[in-house]
Amino acid sequence: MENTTFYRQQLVNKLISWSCPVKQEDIVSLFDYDMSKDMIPTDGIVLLTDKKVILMADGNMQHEIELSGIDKFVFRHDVGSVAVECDIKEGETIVLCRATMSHSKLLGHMTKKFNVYLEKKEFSEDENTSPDDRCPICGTPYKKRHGKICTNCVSKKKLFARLWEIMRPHKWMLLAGSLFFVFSLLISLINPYINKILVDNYVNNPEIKSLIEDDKTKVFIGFLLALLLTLGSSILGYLINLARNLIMMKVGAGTILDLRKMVFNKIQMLSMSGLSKKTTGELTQRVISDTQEVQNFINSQIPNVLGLILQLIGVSVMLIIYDWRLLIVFLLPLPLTIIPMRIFHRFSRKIYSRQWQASSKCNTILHDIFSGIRVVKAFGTEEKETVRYDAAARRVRDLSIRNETRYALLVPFIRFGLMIGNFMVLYYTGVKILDGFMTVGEASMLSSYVAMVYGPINWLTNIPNALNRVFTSVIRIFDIIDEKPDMIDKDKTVDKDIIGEIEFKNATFSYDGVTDVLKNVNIKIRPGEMVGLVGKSGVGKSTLINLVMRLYDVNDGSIYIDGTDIRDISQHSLRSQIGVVLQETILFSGSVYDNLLYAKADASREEIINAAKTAGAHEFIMRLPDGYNTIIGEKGHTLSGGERQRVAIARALLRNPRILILDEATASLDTEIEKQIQDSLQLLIKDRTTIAIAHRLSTLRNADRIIVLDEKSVAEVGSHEELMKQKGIYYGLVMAQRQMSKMSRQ
Amino acid sequence: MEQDNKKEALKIVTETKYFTKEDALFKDAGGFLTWDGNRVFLHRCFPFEEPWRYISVLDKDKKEIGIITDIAVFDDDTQEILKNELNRKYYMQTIISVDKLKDRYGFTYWDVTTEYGHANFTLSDTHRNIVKIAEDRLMVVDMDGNRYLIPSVVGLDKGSYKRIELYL
Repeated sequence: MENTTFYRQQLVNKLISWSCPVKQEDIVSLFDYDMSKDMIPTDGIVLLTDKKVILMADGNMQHEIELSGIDKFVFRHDVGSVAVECDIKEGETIVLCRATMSHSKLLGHMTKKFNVYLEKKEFSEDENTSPDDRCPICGTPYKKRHGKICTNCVSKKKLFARLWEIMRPHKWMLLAGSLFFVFSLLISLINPYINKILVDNYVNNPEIKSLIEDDKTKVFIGFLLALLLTLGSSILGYLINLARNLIMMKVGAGTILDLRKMVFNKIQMLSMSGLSKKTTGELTQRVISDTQEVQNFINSQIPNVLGLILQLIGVSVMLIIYDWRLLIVFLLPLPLTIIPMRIFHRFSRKIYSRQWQASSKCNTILHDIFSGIRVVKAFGTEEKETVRYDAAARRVRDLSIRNETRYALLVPFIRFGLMIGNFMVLYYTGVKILDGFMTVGEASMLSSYVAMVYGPINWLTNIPNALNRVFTSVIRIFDIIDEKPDMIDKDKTVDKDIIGEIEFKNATFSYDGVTDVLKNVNIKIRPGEMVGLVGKSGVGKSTLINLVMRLYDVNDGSIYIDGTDIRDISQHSLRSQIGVVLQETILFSGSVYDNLLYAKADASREEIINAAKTAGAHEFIMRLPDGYNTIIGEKGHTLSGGERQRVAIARALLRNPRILILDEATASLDTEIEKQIQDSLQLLIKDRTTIAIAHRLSTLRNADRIIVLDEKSVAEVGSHEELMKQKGIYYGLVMAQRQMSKMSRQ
Repeated sequence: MEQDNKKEALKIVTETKYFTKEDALFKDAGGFLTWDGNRVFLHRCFPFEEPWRYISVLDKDKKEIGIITDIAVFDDDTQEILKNELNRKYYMQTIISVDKLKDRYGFTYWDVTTEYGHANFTLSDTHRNIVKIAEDRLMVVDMDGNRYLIPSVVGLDKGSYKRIELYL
C-alpha cells in the first residue's frame, strides 16, 4: 500500500506542477506512460475520474473521453512496445498511449483495473498498482531473479553480513582455523631467522675457524641445534598447515551442506507459480554451483586473503624491527606490481572467456548432433555436421594457440614485476653489506621475507573478481531463501477426509496477473461423479485442474471441496487425497517398484501387483528381465511411452485417491491399449470424483457430465446426449472428430 | 465429392494471398492500421533478416489475410504508413555508442547513447540477451524486454566495442 500511495503521490505532484485542472479528489486512478501513439518519447499521465479518461502529455491535456462512451480498454502487447487502446461504443478504436516494455506490467495491470471500474464503478488499489519493480534509491529495475535486492546499490557490508550468517554455525572451527593460521605464520617467520643464524654464525662466519679451535663440540652442537630447529619448524609448519587445511575444508564442506539443504528445502516449499519463473537449469545451478562458489570462497579465498594480510603485517613488523627504511623500499614497488597484475588479470579474463565460449559452443554442437543423430542420419547431413563441428573445433584450437602464446609472452614480464620488490631489497641490503652494516645472513633473511609477501600478491589482485563472483552467488542463494512462499497454509488449516465434492465459485485466475486464463468459472462436481473437460487447446483445461490440486491459488472467487474453501485445507492433506495421471508421465530413475512405491511408501506387494494389473501394466512388467525390480533408467527411458503411462496410472491407483485427475492420461496410447485401460479405469473411477481431460472425445463416453470450456469460462455443461442435442461447441467438436476418423479410414 | 472436399481443404491451407499494388488500401487511423476499412495487424515473417519484406497481414482475430512480399511494391504514401506501423510494433532504439558498462553480481548495467539521446538499462544473463541477428548486427534485450539494435559491431567506435567485446 505504501508503495501505491507513494507512486500516486509522485504522479499527483507532477500534475500539480503541470497545473492540471482536474481536482485531486476527483482522480480515481492514474498511471504514467512514456511514448505518444506516434512513438515519440513523451512524459505523460493517464487519469481516470468517475466521468472521463484524460490523457496528459508533457504538461498539456491531450485528449479526454467520456467513460459513458467507452466500451472497454484494451492492452496491446507488441514486440518492442505496448499500447493502451479504447474501444468506443460505436465500434471505433482510439489509441490512448504507447509505452516501452518497462511499462508493460503496469499498463497491463491498469487496463484491467480500468475495465473493472467501467463495469462496476469500483476501484481497488493494491500493491501491484505501482511500478514497484524498481529500486527506489537508484531507479534500476530489480533483478526479477533476485527479488527485491537491488544489486546496484546493495552494500558490500550487508553481503558480508549474509555471508557471515552462513558461516556462523562454524564459528568455533573458523576461530581454530584462524589460530592455526597465526601459528603457521609465526613459524614461517621463524624459519628465515634460523637461516640467518646458520649463515651468520656458521657458514659465513669469518671467526668460525678460531671458534672451532676453541671448542669444537660446542660449535658443532650449536650448528646441529640450528639445523634441527629448521627441520623441526618445517615439520611443525607442515603439521599446522595440514590441521589448518583440514579445518577449513571441514568448514567449507559443512557450509556447503547446510546451504544446499537450505536452498533445496526452500525450492521444494515454493509454490508452482514461484517455481515456474525459474528454469530447471537455473534451480540446479543454485543448488550446485552457487553453493560451490561460496564453499570455494571459504576454502580458498578467505584463508589466502587472511594469510596474506597477516603475512604483510608480520613481515612489516620484522622489517621495522630491522630497519624501517627497508619497509619503504619494500612497500614502494608494491603498486608497481599490483597495477600490471590487475591489467593482466583483466586481459586474461577476456581471452579465456572467449576461449571458454568457443569451447562451450563446440560442446553444444556435439550435444546437438548426438542427441539428434537420428535426424542427422535421416536427412543425410553427416557431412554438413562434420564441417560445422570442424569449424567450431578449429576456432577453439586457434584461440587456444593464440591465448597460450600471449600468455607465454606475458608471464615473464609479470614474474619480473613480482621480483621488483625483491630486487629493490637486494639492492638496499647489498649496499648495506658492502658498507659493512649488515651481514649476509640478515640480507638473506630479509629477502626471504619479502619473497613471502610478493609471491601471493597474485591472489590479492584477483580478489575483486572473486568477491564479485561470490556475492553474485550469495545474492542468488538468499534470493531463494528469502522468497516468501505465496501459498503458505493459513494458521487454521484442517486435515480433512475428502468425500469428493468440488465447487468453483466465480473463480478467476491469471498466471501473470494481466491476462486472465480463467474468468468467473462456476462449476459444481458431485462426489463420485466423472466429469470430462473439453475445449480447444490453451483454453485453460490444465489450469483448471492445477487449481483443484492447488498448485496455484485463484486470484478471485474461490474453490470449495466438500464445502470447505480449498485454502483452509492443509496442502498436505489435500494432495494426499488427489491422484493425478498427466499426459507427460514423469517417472524417476530407479526400479518399477520404486516408482510405484512413490505414491504409497507402505504399500504391500499384493497392493502393488493389483494396482499394476488394474492399470494393465503387470503383463509388460513381467516380461521385463527383473520384473518389478527392473531398473527403468533416467525418467523411465527404457520403457515405451505407453508403458510409462501405465506405470503412472498404477501409481495413481495405489494412492486410492478420493479425487482422480486424468490429464490426457491415455493420449499417447494406441487405441487398443487405450480401450483396455479405459475399461480398467472404469473400475478405478467408481466412487471417486474424476476429472478427465481428453482430446479424443470417445475417451469421455463414460463421463456423467461434460464441461466445455471456451473463452476462459464454462460454455456448455451436460451429458453427451444433451450436448449433442444442443448443437453447440461440443457438437461441433464431435462432428469434426467423426469427420477426421472417417477420412482417415478411407 | 469427398475428393473435392479434400482438395478444397488443401487449397485453403496452401493458398496464400500475396498483396499487390492494387491492394494498397492501407490507412493510418490515428495510431493504428486499417486495410479496406478494417483494422489489421502486421507481423514480420523474418524480422531479423527481412524487416521490410514478407510481412503477414492479420485481421483482428489474428487470422492471416495475406502476405506482403515487399512493401516496395506500394506507392510511397502506403510504404510510409506500413513503415510507421512496423516501427510502432517493433519499437527498437538504435545504440550509437556504449558509454559505460558495469558488470556487477551477474548483471550488466549499460549507459548508452541512442538516436533519442542518453539511455540506461540493465541486462540479466548478458550473454544470452545479446542476440546476434546477422553476421555484424546485434540485438540487445534488457530486463524489461526493451530491444536495442546495434546495427554494426564493426562500425562501433573503439571504446564501445571494447566494452561489449567480452560478451560477444
